[in-house]
Amino acid sequence: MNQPTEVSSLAAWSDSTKIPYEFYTDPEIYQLEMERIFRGPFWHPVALVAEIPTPNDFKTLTVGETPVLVTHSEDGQCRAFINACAHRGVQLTVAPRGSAKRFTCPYHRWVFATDGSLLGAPGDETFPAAFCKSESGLKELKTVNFYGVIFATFDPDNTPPIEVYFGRVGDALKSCVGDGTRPLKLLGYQKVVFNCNWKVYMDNDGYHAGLLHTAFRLLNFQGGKGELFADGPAGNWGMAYAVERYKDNGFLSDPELVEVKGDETTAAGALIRPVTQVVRHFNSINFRFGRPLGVDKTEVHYGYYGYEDDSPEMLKHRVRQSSNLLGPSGFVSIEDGSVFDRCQKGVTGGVGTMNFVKGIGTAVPDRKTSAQNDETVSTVWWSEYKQLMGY
Amino acid sequence: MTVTAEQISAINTLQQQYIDALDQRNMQAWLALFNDDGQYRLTSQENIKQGLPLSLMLDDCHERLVDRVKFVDEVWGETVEGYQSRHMLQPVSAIRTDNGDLLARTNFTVFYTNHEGHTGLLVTGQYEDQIVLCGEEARFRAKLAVTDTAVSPRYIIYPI
Repeated sequence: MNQPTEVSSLAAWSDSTKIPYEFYTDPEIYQLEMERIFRGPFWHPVALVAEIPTPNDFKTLTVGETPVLVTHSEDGQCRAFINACAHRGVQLTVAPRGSAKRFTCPYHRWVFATDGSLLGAPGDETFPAAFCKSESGLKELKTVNFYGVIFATFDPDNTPPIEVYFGRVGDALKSCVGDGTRPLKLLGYQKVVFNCNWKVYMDNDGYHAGLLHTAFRLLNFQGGKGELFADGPAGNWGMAYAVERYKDNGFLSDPELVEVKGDETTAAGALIRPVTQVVRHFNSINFRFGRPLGVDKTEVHYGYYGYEDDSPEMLKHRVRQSSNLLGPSGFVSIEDGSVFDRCQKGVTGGVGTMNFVKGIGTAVPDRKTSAQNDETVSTVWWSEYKQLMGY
Repeated sequence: MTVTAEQISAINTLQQQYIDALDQRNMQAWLALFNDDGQYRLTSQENIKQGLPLSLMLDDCHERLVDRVKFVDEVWGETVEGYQSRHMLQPVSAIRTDNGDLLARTNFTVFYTNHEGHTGLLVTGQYEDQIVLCGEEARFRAKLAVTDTAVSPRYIIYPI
């Protein structure tokens, strides 16, 4: 097969501040991303332990385009498998979350334990002599528990150890979800499809916050004093800033919604490639699992958390705040989805580049740190992207 | 307790006023259909089934309803591309509680049409409403919209 001409643009391109439109619109590039990135050397978050806190709990999700089943076994370990029967590839369960001691494939009643092992298959006395039950379990992904988040990789040989992989961005993740010793409590989900390429969603930057999000200004939020920092081979970046307490300016009838309660003094975020975002802002802890749905759609599952030891008042406050502020319909963040949609439409069918400029003129040489409202650190990923795609 | 024909009629009128206010984007009219202690909540059946309290919109007091109106009317006009909503309703059941309130379940399907004129299904689900009667007029004490749709095909701006 001839090398698709579109992909030759990957070979020709080198400026990580100017991204050709076709990288966001070309189905050939998208397919290559599925192989080189989503099934490549990346640690994908697949679950927070708080989503599957007790033995036999499970959840399902799609990583890239691959269905994944995450289980919590009776031995206390959380594991991730391809959610496909080892026999004929039927999805073992379709429930988003649940509890099960074993998984039975509906097609031919093959039964699997939560550790992925095959427990039984009807009629196995007539299987070929070479059929080995112990080798016919579910296909397991290598996983690691990092600050209470289960990460999985499809390419364990080439994915660096998680601490190396994250570097400093691990601190941002820890700042968002804690270090895993104080158990989180799942509050619920908001799920949406954005009409944009997954990289449009992930190119979301610090520059836009105070400009696009009208509520930031009306509510007198505007940090800008924090720091962004990229680190590790995947181009992940983190964000840390001091939280500003809301001074009631009479704009809201219910200013309690935007109060920061307790002793919280900081806010944080982590952009985890390829398609996860984590935000802790106000008293809302938000883990956004993304999933590309073809070249021009991205599904995002916003999971929200509190702490198991929260007081009832704090829990109620977190639920109110999480439900209303930073999700796909959130008072502060709703504009994102609209802009993603228009961004995708704007770059489709034309020739041009998406440009990163804010902060580039004053950036440190490796561009790995910047002011909060700059676009600089996003370019680190784009430098890695070329290499990851094999060019 | 049985629900009278007049009460059924009051519920139907309230629901018609509700969807008309939303589809006309008359947020003040929407607000006026809630009782003084009225609440609004939009969430998915997935959250409800799992016992998870998080919602997509959670207005648990009058002040929150007022703020939602303010955001739709005054804040998002410039930066969020809107859409025309169209609500289709089907009454399912109504009962009367001991305190005299009515509990009504009503199926809804909501379409959206974007600026280019493309129409799609936004969400489908069921209202579980607690309705208070003030004379012949009905008002929402608690309007709970539970969507069967767990993953909406775009961002939801306006209440359902």
